[in-house]
Amino acid sequence: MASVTISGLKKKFGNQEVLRGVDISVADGEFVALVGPSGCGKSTLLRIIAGLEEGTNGEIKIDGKSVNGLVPKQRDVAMVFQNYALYPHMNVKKNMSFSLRIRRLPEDEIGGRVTTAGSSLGLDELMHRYPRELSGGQRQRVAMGRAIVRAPRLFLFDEPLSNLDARLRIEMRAELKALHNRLKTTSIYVTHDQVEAMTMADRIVLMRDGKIEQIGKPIELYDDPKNTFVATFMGSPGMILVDGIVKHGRKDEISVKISDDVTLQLPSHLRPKDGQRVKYGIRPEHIEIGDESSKSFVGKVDLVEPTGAETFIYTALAGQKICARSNKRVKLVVGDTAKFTLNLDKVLIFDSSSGERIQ
Amino acid sequence: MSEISGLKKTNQVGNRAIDVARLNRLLAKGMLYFVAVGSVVILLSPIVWMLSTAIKTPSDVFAYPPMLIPEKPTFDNLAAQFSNGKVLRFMFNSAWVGVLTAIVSCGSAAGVAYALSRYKLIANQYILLFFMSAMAFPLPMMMISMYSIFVDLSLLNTYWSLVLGHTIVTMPVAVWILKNFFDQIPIEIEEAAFVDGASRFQIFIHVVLPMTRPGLAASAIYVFITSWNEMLFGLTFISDSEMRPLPSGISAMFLSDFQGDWQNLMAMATVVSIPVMLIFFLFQKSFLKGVTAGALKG
Repeated sequence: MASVTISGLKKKFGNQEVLRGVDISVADGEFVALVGPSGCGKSTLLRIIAGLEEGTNGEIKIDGKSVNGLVPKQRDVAMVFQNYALYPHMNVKKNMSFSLRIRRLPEDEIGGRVTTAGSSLGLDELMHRYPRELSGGQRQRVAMGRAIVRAPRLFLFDEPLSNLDARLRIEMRAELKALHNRLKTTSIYVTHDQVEAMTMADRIVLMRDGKIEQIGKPIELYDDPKNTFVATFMGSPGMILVDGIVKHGRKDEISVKISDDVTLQLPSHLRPKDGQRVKYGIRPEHIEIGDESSKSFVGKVDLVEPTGAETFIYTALAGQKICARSNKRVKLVVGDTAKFTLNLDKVLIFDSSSGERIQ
Repeated sequence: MSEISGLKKTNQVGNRAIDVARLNRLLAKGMLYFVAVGSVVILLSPIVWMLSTAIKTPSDVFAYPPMLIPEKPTFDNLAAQFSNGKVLRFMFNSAWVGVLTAIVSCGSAAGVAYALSRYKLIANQYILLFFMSAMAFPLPMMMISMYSIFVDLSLLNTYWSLVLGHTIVTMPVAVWILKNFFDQIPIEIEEAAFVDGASRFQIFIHVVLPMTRPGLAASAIYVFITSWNEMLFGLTFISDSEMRPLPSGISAMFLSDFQGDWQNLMAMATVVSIPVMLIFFLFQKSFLKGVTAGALKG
């Protein structure tokens, strides 16, 4: 187990700057997810930590010691790749024991470690099979087994579940989390799937264009996003953002004018400047259907998406798309009109030009 | 009525167009078969004649009209070759030189091809072009410089002169075959081994080479067959008749021992062709896989 400190890390490929000064501290035993859209630099960051790439500037420390310039072997990290990267000419046992043989460990120790790791991952029956004879999930287990047998200081996962089907991904997600709880090895996990990050990580690092947008516990990023990018990236669907202008009324009332006909109230603790262009943000689960109050508006249902446990209802507010999430059975159909009520306590507002949160 | 006749006319024109297209297709197919069968006949006829003569008695060799299948076929000529000390010695020389050349040529080609495949240098394409252009030089021209080098290294009249000579000739093709194979190995597999703690050399030996077995087999077969068939180096670099490989040994015997003894000469030619044919038929699949690797890469 080890702590990881990344400071001022930059990476350039030719003229293209892929990482623009990244600072992260990962505590001993922590499970941190690096999340972000494709091309945000998360995989490059992981590869630099692994020693497969060199950073252009900055420093990486593992357990307080700089690992800049060290090859992967000297860093004592294990990595699970997106496409598993199993050795096709070796059976499961040999795949798992390869790193131990390279280190010339005694045969009985190699056998013991492979058997233990194999049993914990349910691979006992598959030890003599070749990768081509395994299913996607089994290959993923072997890739994890190959990392576990080494008992490294740090686990690095590069989108390890993205090649699995939805059901298997959920199963493996739980297994990986259980594995981490058992081994307590520091883990850095790259994914573009925010649900995966939310469910597995102790902390999430959300990246965009080579920079960190926000670091925090999953629920912090969800409830307390620093800007519109974080607000819309976290959650599925993400936060609804509606453009408007702040209006200060009489009696200290502040509202956001969406159009000539529609004005949305703001909670009393939010006090943006009069006339400021803002984005009015609310999550779909904070828009209720059917309740009638002063905070509600009437909308025509454009789309209904039942998923079983919940239903998404899409409507438009002054021409801007809105989605409500209901965990009750909804009998609405496309074309119906319904009352949508906003939970004002959960409303957030962001500056329109910078995208930063106004508090 | 006029509409109907117009329709008929259009149909007739349409049918004629279909007939012409069908005729063109048939002609193209016919030409293809003609060229294919013609090539096979031209290529096979010397081999068939060699096999036919090898099982003839001396009187049948010059019989008129010539016979493809002799009236009384004999296998004595073929059997005699296996007790001919000189032939067996030549065979051993060829096999030994072929195996050594396959190891040296494929071993060095694997290193070069791996470097060309994995280290993305601007000079890569020039290096590959340089290797390929070596094939364009006429063999006798290269032999002059090789001869003077082997004299300096005291390698003349040793197996190593043949091994090195054949390596120079075969390496460009072996590099090309193997580079195609290395290009197809996903880089992540090597990176996984790198993270697993393997050095570049360990990755090459334990991961890359085992994954390119078909490529290695294809290039080894190519090198072995080229070495087995090569005659000029054997005549030029080897002066001791005991050391000569098959083609140069046979050509020397053709002028001395086998003067006019066609049935025995052909029997010997048959015997020496067997190993090459056997190798090719046994490893045909991996050979074809090797030389066509990368051809369909998207």
